[in-house]
Parts: sequence; structure tokens; C-alpha cells
Amino acid sequence: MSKNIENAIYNEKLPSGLPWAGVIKKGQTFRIVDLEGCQAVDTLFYNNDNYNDRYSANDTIREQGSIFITTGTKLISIDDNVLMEITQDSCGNHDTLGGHCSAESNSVRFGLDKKYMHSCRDNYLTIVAKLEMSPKDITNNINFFMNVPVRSDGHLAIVDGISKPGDYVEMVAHMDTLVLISNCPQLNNPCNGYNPTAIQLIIWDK
Amino acid sequence: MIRSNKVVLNEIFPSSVKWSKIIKRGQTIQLKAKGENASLSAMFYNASNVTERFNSADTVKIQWNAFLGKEKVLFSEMGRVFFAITEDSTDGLFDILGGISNERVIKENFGGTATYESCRNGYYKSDYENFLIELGKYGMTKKDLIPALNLFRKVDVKDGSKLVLSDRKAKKEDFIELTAHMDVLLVLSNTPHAMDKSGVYEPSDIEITIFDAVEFKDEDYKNYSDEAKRGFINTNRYFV
Repeated sequence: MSKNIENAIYNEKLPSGLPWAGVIKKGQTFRIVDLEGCQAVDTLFYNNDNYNDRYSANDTIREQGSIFITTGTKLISIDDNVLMEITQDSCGNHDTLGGHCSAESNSVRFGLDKKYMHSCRDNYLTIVAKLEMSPKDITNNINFFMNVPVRSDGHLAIVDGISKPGDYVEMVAHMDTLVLISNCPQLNNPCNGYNPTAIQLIIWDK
Repeated sequence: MIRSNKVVLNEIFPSSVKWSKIIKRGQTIQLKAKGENASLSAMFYNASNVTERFNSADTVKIQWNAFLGKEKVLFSEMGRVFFAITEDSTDGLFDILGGISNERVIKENFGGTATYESCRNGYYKSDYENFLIELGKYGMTKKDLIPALNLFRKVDVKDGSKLVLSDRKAKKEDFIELTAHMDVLLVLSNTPHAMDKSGVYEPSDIEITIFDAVEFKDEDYKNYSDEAKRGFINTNRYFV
């Protein structure tokens, strides 16, 4: 079946700053659209039959030999399973190193007075509590559409995004995969252009 | 000098096995290579609340560098400092990119022949196995496997994205000192780096020395970044 918006089984807008959870069943395709460009989409993945078997940033980047997520990347779990595979990517260079923002890391990065701003970690803690998962299920995430170049001397910075309005990334589930998203509310750095915006989430059946 | 000279523990941590201990606030742990092929993986936690754990992403993001070395700090996910890297004769042999080995990686890199049946205690253990066993002793589980800090080996980032294990290794007697700013449960696995394709499974023994706790003095940390200093403030507040 060709993928048209009309035959998607799920097609919803996620406003900025909010969390989202959904299960992508084996064979289904999941698309994340950066509607206005330069948004950071913090995303975690779990084997839906066993949340202990979760996305591992280290295994994923080591096995592909590159720090960036793009077409062809297999998202590998801590138990060495392939959860999903990136099949289309109009943007490239999705980040695996920066993790997610939190009240506590904001206080260190931007000043002790920045502690009480909304954060991705708050979103993740909310959603893992609602799903009766554990805070220990939260690990290093992918930041779709976030630009974190690394120089040969190791220097690393979250810099202006490179995604344009409408850029998207698409992935196919190799196994039933729980996806947790925090549509990043960070206001202190250019990860989302100092202006967090909505994304579109679309699922197609196989 | 930041640390005491009084040794409170000294032991050899042999090749291929695992080790754990709570390093108390103010103590310094020295890890010294006893051969030319040192390679450790580390996971660590707040000893009084293991839900608070080392966060490699925060550590590199906060300090603007994927590489670590002397006068960098290792952050918990709560914006607090677990360890300051207070000495490093290896000139930066740290890695947060390559992760840990599992059974498949060990078989691919070193062959599948070195079983307990054939090698007894010399069998080729993986980090995954070592960490699960050692964490289990504290009631911890697979959920507590975190992105690890590797010591004595480094992964370079070539051309802006490619991961390559550096050929550079620690020399015999090279050492790293980590000063604990909280009571830290430190778990170590002494196995080859997960990207080590040499085919030779013989990680060096490590001499572990723990030095007595000291009071922290601001002057000892004056060269640390503003971000690290805010981390120290957060840490000190925790102990009020």
C-alpha cells in the first residue's frame, strides 16, 4: 500500500512542550514531521514486550560506526535487538549525544535560577509514571532534528538546527516498539530556535 | 594536592572480571594500569539513591566536549558531580561513545572458543555479563545498565561523525584519579573495549588505591569550568 496521509492509521499534531507515547507494531511505519523546522524531538524506544530491553545509544552508534542517525540506521537495544530502522530522512544528522534537558542540568548549564523551567525529563518522568514504567527506564535518547556537530578535538555544541519546515524522518518497526517523545520545551539554547513548535506524528500499517 | 596521601585501600583488580565499591565523598580512587593493554568500563550511581546515576549525555553537553580528561567532572542526571577527574597521566584516555561489550561483540572480536569449559576462569567475559552480575549484588537489574564511561581507551570522531577506536593506549603505570564529591557506588568491568578488533583478549590488571577523604577547598577547583562549579554548588546543597 502506498503511503498517503489518507490511509494513515494515526495522524495527529503534537504541540510543543508535550510528551507522547505510542506503540509502533512490527512492520508499521512511523513518521515524525518537523512542521515549522528547527524543533528538537527527544525520543526513546523500548521493546514493547519488555521495557528493560530499550534503545541503546552506544550500541546503535558503535554498530553503525557513526554518531548520527539517518536513513539506514538500525536502532539497537541493550539486548542487541533491532527495534526500528530509519527508512527515510529529509534532514540528516539527527543527534545521539546530547540527551534530554532537565531542571537540574538546566541549572548547571544556564544558571542556578533556570531550575524551574519545563523540561524533557519532566515530560519523560510524567509519561513513565502514567505507563507504570520506572524512572530507571529513561536513558540517553535520540534528538531528531537537533544539530550537535562534534569536532576532531571533541568540541561539541548544540547549534542552530538544520531542519526546514516540513522535514521528516521515517522509520519501520522491526519489532513491536513503544516510542516515547518529549517535544522539547527548551528555551535556553538554539536546539529549537528558542521557539519550540509543534510536530506531526503519522503511523501507517504495513 | 587535592587528595590525601593516606591510603585506605590498595588491591589488584585482575583482568576480565568485575569490581564494585562505594567511594565516599571526599575520597579519591586511583586506577593504575599494570600492563600495556588497560581497558575499563564504569557505571556509577548515588550510593544512597541509585536512581540517580551517571549521565554521559549531560556530562559531555554541559562541558561542551565529547572527550574527557583532567579537570572535567562526571555529572549525575541530577546536575550534581559524582567525580572530578583530578589526575590523568593518560592525557585523555576516556570514552563515552563506544559503550560496553556483550556476548556477540566478544565472539565477533575474539572468537567463541574461550569458554569456561575450555579455559576455566580465563574465559572471555563481556561487560554486559560483568555488569549484570555485579549490579545484582546491590539488588539492581538490567534497568540499571546505563551508558558507560570507558577508561584507558578513547574513541575518536573522524570527519565530524565516524567513530574510530584510537590506537593510543595507556602505558604501564599510567593512572587516573577520580575524586568523589558524593558517596558513589562505582561498578567496574575489566574487559577489552567493545571496539577492540585486535583479537587479543588480555586486558591489563589494574591497581586500585583509595585515598582517605579530604575537605574540599575552592582553590583546588579554581581551574574548573563555571558549569562544573555550579555542579559543585548543587552537590554541596544536597549534603546540607
